[in-house]
Amino acid sequence: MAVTTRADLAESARYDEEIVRSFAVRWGSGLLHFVQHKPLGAAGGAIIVVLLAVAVFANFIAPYGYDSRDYNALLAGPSHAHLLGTDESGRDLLSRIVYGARVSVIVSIGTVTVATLIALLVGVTSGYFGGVVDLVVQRVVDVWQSLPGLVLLLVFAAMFGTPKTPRTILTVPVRIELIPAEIRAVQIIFLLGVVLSGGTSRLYRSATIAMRHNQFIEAGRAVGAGHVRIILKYVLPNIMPVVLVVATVQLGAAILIEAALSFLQFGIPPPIPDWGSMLSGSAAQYINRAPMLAVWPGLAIALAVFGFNMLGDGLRDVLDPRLRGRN
Amino acid sequence: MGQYLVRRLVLLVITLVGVTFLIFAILRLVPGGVENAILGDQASPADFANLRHTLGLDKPIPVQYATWLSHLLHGDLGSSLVSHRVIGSDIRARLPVTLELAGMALVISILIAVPVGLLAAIRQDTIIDYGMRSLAIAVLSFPDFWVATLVITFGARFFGYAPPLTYIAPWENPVKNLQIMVPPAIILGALLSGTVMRLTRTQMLDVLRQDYIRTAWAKGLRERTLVWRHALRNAAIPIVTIFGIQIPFLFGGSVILEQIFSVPGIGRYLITAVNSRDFPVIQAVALMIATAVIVANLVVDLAYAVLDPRIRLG
Repeated sequence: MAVTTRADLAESARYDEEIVRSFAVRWGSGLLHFVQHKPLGAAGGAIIVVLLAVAVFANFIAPYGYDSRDYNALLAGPSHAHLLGTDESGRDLLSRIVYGARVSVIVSIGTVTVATLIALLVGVTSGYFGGVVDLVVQRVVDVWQSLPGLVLLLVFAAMFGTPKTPRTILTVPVRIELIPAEIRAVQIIFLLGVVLSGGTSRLYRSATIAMRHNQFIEAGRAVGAGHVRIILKYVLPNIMPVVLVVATVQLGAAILIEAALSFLQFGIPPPIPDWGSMLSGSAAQYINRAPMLAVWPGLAIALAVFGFNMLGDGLRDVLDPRLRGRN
Repeated sequence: MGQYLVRRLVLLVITLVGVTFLIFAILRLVPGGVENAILGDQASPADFANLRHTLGLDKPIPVQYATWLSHLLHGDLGSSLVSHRVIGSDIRARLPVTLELAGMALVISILIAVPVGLLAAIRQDTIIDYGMRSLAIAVLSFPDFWVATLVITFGARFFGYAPPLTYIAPWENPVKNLQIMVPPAIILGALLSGTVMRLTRTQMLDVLRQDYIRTAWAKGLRERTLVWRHALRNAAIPIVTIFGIQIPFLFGGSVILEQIFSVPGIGRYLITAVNSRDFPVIQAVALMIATAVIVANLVVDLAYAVLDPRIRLG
């Protein structure tokens, strides 16, 4: 009779531990390698980790709420109570910047997810199938690319207007109600995602074309694999490096465009703080009395985008062997 | 070359038609209808019907499209809902301003980026390279509206600088015109130069790896001749395509900067129209910008064909 003894259980636990440890060692050593050889990229990565941590733990990090007003300190300079000062309504600038990180992170991650999915769908199909499909799709992408992102977003802003009332979008299986700021965020995520996917689809298309004639694709077809299977199993995993690099840089671009939209007052409506809109309102009016109001939000944007770009650069250097340098 | 030109022009026409389609479709997809977005919820049904008739929205969609297209081909872009002025003449006045701004920014970005990218490529992996790359990435991470706001803020504080309010054309008074245009052009150009510098560096690195460069090196050519005569010529071709990629960003960036520096270009026209829900203007300006981008891409492609014989012969 085969009975699972206690010794067997202990042994399988040791196997599991070994497997986990070998994964950790591989990932850990890969990370260490990256930090050692691409210090700039690693620095960018560190900035992003900090950004994500700030966004997730905003409630714990921010000393005040994003809309709590201290009427004793209006347009105050940096002080012990308010590390970066306050705006004209007495709201603590540091807290608003911390909560603003949340908006930037959510919008950028959402946007890049949508953009990557659409761009992969369009670009890989166009590159893989070629022929008439490719011709037609590329003409559509041509048209799509001819409008600058900001212009298209402004047009959409004119059409949709600023949401003012909460809306329920689902009742089954669970009731989801969105406040105006969230509605706007969802709108921006989808629209900006669609806008950004145009140019990116070209990149994925050329990556697909570059590997279209590879041996394993031929082999897969010889075995009788269908197109979908070949794409999912062979093409996609091999263009992942490109996708990774492009998506990282696009996260930065998404933050920039969203901030520009908010700066023009077409973005996330108040009272939710957004780095872009923080630069337009009181910062512009109270230039003389509190010039630093115009500095900190923009610095936050620049730092976040810088982090994403550095990380993307480091990743590209690692994943693209041609640029490794003379060593 | 002739064949390439013909092919390219056919492509141009197809893309332009596609753009009209896209803009037409987008502005008809307004939730609740265009008249709702313009007038808001408070207007009476009679007002809605009136507006629909004025904008020609009560006709079937293919008829609307055909009417609009035929108007376009006659150069009639309609008139503004807010000011009742003919849009065509407004755009004719404003487009050169934006083109001047974009052109200056492009030139500035090339002047900064190409030498820096070259230097970084030649001295790869040295501290110059790392420094330049980090600087380039830092520069392209800055939001343009932030830099512009800072320039105006601290310029006002320390230098008493204020952007001039009235625009003066370059043929009336070149100096005054430059005073207005140079600050936004420098900001836009500097921010764009980050991307151009990195791409220049990448292309130069690619070229420097080629065998013919190694041969020239082995022949004993001086570094300067090598770089200028052989490497740069070949790297110039992809750099020209970089301009094609930058053009939408140029127009997007000029929209914000025109707003901040009060430059009367079509970017500012667009923002004012979006604020007042002036749909005919929005439609016309979007079309203009898209056309400008497409034409600029054509110019880039033609330059590409001139520089690279393989394109026009193959």
